[in-house]
Amino acid sequence: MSNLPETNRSRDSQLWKDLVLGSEQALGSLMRIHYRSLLNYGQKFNRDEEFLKDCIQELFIEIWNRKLTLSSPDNVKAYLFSSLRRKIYREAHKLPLFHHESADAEDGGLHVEFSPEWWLIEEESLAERTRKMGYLLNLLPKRQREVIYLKYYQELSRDEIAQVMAISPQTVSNLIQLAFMNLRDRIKTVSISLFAFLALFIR
Amino acid sequence: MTDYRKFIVEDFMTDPLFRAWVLNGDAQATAFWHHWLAGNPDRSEMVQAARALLLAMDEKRPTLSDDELDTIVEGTLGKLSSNLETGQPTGRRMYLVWARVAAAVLVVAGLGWGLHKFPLGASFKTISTTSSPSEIRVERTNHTDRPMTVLLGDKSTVILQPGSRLSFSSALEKEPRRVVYLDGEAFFDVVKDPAHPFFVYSNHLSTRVLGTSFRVVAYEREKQASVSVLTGKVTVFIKKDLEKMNKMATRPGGLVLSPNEQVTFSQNKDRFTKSRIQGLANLYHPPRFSFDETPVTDVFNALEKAYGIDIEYEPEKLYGYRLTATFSEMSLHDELHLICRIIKGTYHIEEGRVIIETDQ
Repeated sequence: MSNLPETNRSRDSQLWKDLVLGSEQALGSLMRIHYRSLLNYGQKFNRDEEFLKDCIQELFIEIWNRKLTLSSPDNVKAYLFSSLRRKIYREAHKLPLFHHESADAEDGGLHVEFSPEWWLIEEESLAERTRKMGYLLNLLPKRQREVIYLKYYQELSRDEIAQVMAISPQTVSNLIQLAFMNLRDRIKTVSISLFAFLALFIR
Repeated sequence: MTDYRKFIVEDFMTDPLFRAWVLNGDAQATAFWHHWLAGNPDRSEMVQAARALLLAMDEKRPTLSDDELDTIVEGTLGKLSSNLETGQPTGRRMYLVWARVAAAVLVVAGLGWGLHKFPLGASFKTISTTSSPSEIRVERTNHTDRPMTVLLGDKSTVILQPGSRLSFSSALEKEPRRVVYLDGEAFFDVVKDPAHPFFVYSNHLSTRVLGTSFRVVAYEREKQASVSVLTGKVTVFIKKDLEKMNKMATRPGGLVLSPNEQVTFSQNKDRFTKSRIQGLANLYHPPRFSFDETPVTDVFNALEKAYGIDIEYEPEKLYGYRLTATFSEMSLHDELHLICRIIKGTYHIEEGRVIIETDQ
């Protein structure tokens, strides 16, 4: 079985077509395929698992109820991610369903948080480095953090990330670049201060 | 052939071979990268940074079992508008309540760890995780009123007390880190393997082990938890500290325990108390057996009963083998090893069961 993104995409599109034609099984398959990633994504914003499960279930029920009026998404995974993101934001802020919020306000409400399990790593230096990276990642501005998570954890493409976060693909590229510039600067600062600290002992 | 010398941190992070090494501990990928690093020491800093960044994002939290997912999917399908003519409750409010009830039945214990949830309460469950879909998790619950022995694939032994629950990966011995989750009380006899450190996640406390024997008492419902060491050394972390640490720049110290030392964590006081403990060895004394011309199948029955384990074998192949021996101060693994030499067979552990294979 191939796991190539294109293969997955066409599989998802086929399932979507089937569900529009009224196949509950197709809806179930889409849910099985994406449920765990969606839950993990949601957990980055909100630790309340029951709340998240409710949101995801509602999301799929809404898709079913509106299947004849929804236009089929180019990319089902990105569609699901962006819908969940909006839903979590609305539910968490008790906003009316059709409230139109600006992108900035939305970002203000949602932020990805990393909690690395560095202490599981036996190799002392790597554990310490991982912990530090988690700390530095959490210092990044919210949108940079989310872009990094979607690209390197969920392995979404630039275009998919653009769709999920409702920003342009160029903005995605810029955010990734900014994030790494930020990280590089901070890694440098950390290692310089570490170096200075060690120098105290050497003298 | 990819020219990895041209790579920067971002490129390493998306490279499949690199991810296979860092995130899955794939043996082939590991060998490749060790070799590559030896030949390109000037790239070490960059590789280590990419490695740490990927690891920092990788939260190994076992989430839903396949059964749980099935239930959720079925539950959702049952609420679709086309199925509602049967008079099921409709409307958003109702199904939210339904979802909560279902979830309350499904997610039995949260371990209090917040991030790590135990799977279903039944004795054996297979669960796959988000991060590696191929991983199957096994859960054992001691529903009896006597201690139960659980054998792990790495030949470590766990004695699980009544009402306690243990969950672990079915391919534990192949994972870069051997991780088990405990709700309740258990005594661990861990096989030493520095390349694959052993971890016990539990309520309030997390324990890191190399090779040693120790007891963990950590019931999810209780405000107190303890770890006591019989042999070797373990490091204990308070889980709250670990969570806090991710927001701080400094590293927390775990508490190192030596033989006959015990640490108790009390949620009310929010702190560790270290004390001496005696007599742990007597509490976990291996059972004694005496066999005299006993058919091997009866020997297996006796072991099954004493340890509360399942042993699978083909009785017809063992016909005629008899055993005369006294087992005392022996671990279950030693006993199985000895019996297998007599019947010219081998044994291995599958989801906590002992599988005996004979050659003929």
